[in-house]
Amino acid sequence: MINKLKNYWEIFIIFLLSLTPLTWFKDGQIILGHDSGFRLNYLDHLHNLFYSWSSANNFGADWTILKGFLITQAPETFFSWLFNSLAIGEKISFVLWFFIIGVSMYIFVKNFFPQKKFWIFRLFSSTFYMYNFFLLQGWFIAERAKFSLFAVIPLGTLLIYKTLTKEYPILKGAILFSLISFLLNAGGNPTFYGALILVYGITFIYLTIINTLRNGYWEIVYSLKLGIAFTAAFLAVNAYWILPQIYLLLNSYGSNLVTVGGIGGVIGWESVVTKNASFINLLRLQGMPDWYNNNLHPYSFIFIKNPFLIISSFIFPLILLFGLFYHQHLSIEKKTIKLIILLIFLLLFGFIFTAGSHPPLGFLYILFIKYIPGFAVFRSAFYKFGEVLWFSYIILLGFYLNLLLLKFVKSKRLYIFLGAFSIFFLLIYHSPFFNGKFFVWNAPFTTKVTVPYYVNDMANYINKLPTDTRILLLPEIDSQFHADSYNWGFMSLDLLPRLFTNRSIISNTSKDRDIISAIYRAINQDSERDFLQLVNLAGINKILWRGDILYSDKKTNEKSFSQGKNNLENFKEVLVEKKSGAWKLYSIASAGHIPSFYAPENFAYSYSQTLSSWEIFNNKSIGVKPAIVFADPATDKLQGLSSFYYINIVEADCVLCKPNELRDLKDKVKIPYVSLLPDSPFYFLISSKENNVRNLYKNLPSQRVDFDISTASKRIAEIIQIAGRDFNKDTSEELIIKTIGNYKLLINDAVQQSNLLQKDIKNSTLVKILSYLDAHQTFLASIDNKHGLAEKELEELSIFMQEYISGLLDGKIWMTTSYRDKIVYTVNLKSAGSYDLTIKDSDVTPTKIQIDGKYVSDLSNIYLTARSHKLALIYPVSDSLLTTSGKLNGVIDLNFNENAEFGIKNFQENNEYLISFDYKVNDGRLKLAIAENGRIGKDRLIKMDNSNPWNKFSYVYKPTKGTTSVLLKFFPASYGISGTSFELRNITVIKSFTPLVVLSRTVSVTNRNTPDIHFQKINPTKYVVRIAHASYPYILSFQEAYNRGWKAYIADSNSFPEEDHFEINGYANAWLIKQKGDYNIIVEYYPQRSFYIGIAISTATLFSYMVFYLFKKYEKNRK
Amino acid sequence: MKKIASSISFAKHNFIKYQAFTLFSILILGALFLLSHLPYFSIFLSVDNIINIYWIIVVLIFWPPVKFSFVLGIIFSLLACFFLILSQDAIAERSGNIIYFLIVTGFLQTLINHLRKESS
Repeated sequence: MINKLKNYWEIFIIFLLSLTPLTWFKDGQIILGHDSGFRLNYLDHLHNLFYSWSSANNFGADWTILKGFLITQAPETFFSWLFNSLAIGEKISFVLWFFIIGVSMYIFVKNFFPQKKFWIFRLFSSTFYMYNFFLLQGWFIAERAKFSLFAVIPLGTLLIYKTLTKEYPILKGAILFSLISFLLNAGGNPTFYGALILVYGITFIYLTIINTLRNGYWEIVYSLKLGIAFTAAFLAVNAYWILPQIYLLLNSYGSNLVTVGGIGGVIGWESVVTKNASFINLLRLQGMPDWYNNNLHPYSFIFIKNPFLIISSFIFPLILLFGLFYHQHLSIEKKTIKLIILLIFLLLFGFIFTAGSHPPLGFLYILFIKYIPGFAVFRSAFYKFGEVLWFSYIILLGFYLNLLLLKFVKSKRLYIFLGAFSIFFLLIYHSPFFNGKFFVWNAPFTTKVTVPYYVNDMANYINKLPTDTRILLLPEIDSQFHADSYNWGFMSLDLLPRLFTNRSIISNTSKDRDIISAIYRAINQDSERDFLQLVNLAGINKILWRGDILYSDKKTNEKSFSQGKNNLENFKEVLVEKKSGAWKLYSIASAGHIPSFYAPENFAYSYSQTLSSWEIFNNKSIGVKPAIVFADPATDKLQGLSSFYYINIVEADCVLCKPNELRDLKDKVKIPYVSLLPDSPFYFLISSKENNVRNLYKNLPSQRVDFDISTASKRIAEIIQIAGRDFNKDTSEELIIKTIGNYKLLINDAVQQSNLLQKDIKNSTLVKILSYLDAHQTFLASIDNKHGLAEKELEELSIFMQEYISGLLDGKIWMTTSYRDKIVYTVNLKSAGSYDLTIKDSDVTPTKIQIDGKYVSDLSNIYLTARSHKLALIYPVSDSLLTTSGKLNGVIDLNFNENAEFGIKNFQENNEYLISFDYKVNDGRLKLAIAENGRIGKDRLIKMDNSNPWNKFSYVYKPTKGTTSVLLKFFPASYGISGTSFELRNITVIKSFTPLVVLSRTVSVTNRNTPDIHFQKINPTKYVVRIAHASYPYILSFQEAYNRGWKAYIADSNSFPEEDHFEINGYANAWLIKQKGDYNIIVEYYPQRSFYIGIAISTATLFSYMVFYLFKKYEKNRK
Repeated sequence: MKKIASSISFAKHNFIKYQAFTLFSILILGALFLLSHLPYFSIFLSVDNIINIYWIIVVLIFWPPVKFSFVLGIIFSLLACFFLILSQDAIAERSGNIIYFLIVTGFLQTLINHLRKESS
């Protein structure tokens, strides 16, 4: 028995090391938040994962992508359920993950190196595989998908290797391979499969080549058989998550690539992630993106800066290099050479892929992204392929370390000592694993939290509410990062209430809808009428106030939202239902609550997507079941829908009405870096490409203008680069002159093409041209023409630009030029009729209103034709709101400790202010600071430019929430004792506002009778709706988020055509239904069907494995 | 005196022995250096790339012992360590690039030697 146990001492050590997570937690602490994915309602969550639709996510969302977590999150759910404690469940599952990772590596090494002398190799590799910084950056959120991937790589590779070398029959290999892929599925996240494809692919190709060279071409057939068997078994067992994802991919109606900014955005992101993935960092098993330039990182600084740790980090490449150096002299068995060569191949490819777009081989990765379809999903190369590098490197290090020790250490005791020391060194070097500080990723925000009692108390209460309860969060979440964060350390994009309940939680997340913004706005503006109409339309019946929030800026807390809270508590229909600690639950007592399914009686049709639509809609809506539809090409064409409208809403577009809007547009214009200049022998490629695009857009003026102005930016880049270079000076001048000529042709063409555009597009296109010209002129002014080339032509080019700019500004573009007295709009009407004009968001009434140059006195029943119209609001010139006790005109001298300050009259935190003045700095440097409540934030410190004699300054100041007093201070910017002298003139502070101008037309429609509707929820993806007395066509609205996956059909017949399915109320599904009479409609989320098919295949496959196993066992026993 | 004479003799002998290599190296490095100052070539001919290209050419033509690549790798590792301690990260990064290519060339040499040995 003891002898038998002795055989397992290495596994026992791995187990002991796996107990590390037990040291991380104090009583009651759990991992929660960030991207950890842990839930306080773990059982409900696992149950919900069976469905492809989650109703908790605002108005509902598809979460097909999470199907793989049914297995990955099963351990923690099981242990939490078993011990009725998430804390214990987490601890046990963490130990389990640690152990699985270590043991998988152990099995791999043991299979190839079972001899006793290789104990150092086995333990060193297993320990290193458990304790490394790549995994540690996943441990702060206990990234189970990554752990699963880490654990499966050695086992999967081993099975492919053993089967290709014919140690296992194909069937056995395929079954085992699919089983381990089932249990360790990397969370079913396809992007993680990049590493697996790379490791398995290289192993497969490498061994196929070797087998073919040794035994002939039949080996290719054998490998193909193996490949097919392994792939089929993998697909069959994992069909439950693969099929739904394939369905999603085939039916994804918008490219995911677009959401990440196209290929350019992917490459940009990739370069950020792999910025520090240099070969020198990867050789030392470092380069983690979050380590660098991050003062908040709990341990990276010491590893980057401490000389002792830098030297220690070089032990790894040195072991590898010494190992390779002595490779031929080490006693390597012939059969293991094949494996070592494979591992070196994996290592070398691992370097290239983990480094991603980082030089020197980053261009390869960029080519893959650009030209291999679908490769863009691996846009975070370091995270997606790092596993390949760590896996191969760690095994090679263990191998060479062991062999070097065997070669050079003759004493057995010293051998044991050095072996033990190397493992001890690994643990010491990775000491951050033991202190648990790595959970604090941005103090006070951490993933290791103690959940306050009141959160659990409120969670228990909310979980007892009806399942169709919809809860609005207040205060709204941080709109900058869209994270839900609290003063007790929790922060996550996954909102805290969604981690403890299945009830629908509504908040302003990144994918929020206008209706949500409109609700928050109604609360802040103390408008109970708007609030009630909107919450009814959104199906919201509760509000959860969290009085312990802390924004990511670590300053904004619940006090900043006290005004909104007071407004809410003063609403008559809002009552406190439950109070616990810092949290309060309010109920909205309203008779107008709209159920999940209803047939709207009246429609508003809006050509605006902004809040104004809601406000006009609220003012004009009639009946208890209203609805609003926002125009888009689909609903515009929907036959029969127009007979339901009673009001048309059109919002006028304000043209450059924010004071800095033109400047912002100009700032967005970037001058690219051009790698080929016109004298390059390869420039013909550029010219040819440009000609092709120009021809393509021959009859498309809008696209042609875009092409012209973006190409003009390239010409400017060429001029700048030619003027700045030190070679080919003789030809450079001629080249600049020629390029200037090309530039002028492009701009002339852009303006000509704009004349071909329709009136409504023409104006915005001219604005675009203006912003480009303005930007080009600025870039040209900063040119470094060190050789004085083509100075006259450059001067002429500047004049050419200025003439165009002046021409455009001088009335050619319909735009706001004076923010103090005239704001202009354009509005494009689709239908003629009498419109009411509404002006919102302004407490100042315009003195005059112009439409198409004519003054309008009565704002109702204005007859307008169906075309583009010009509107102008004319205001009295605003008085400056500047208040000052000191001198703010003429020359001002300030010593180093002095400042000149002014305030804002009648200051209100909800207003925006335009601060403008001319200034001249005579001496020293000058800064302007905006002090809010006596404090100056970093973003409120403005350095004044002193490059010109007189400079213009204009700044739109939007106060921070909670600001009650504000002072604007001029002070010397220099350090030390120097002061400043400057002059000011025309200093003004005015309230900046952009009124919403909305035109609405009421259409009289016959009031229709709507059918009686009752419904039953079968599960989150299926509802049965009973329709009675349908005597006219009607609209069936379903209050879950619009998604084309939702289908409605009458039982035993085809679903209603997709053309009749559209979005309503800014978020919900609606179908135009023409069937009359009484019947049942099934509303179903179709992607769920692919899961049912997938899980049937997976279950049948696993069952067949079991039958096969029992049969084999029976056969063996019979023999 | 004898020692000096023997050292001179050793140096002379080795110079003659490796003069083709030395001349070749000077030529290649010189050519690459000149190229690196020409437009467009300057984009990719950084110091580390010059060394990498040079070493690949040397390996292809002279087929030095495999160990050379790894010894150079060890030397560059020590240099990189030194530069990192001095916070000269950019130089250390270039050294890292060279180490990678030295491992690649050394490994490919080992592999080819191994295949030659097996086939013979």
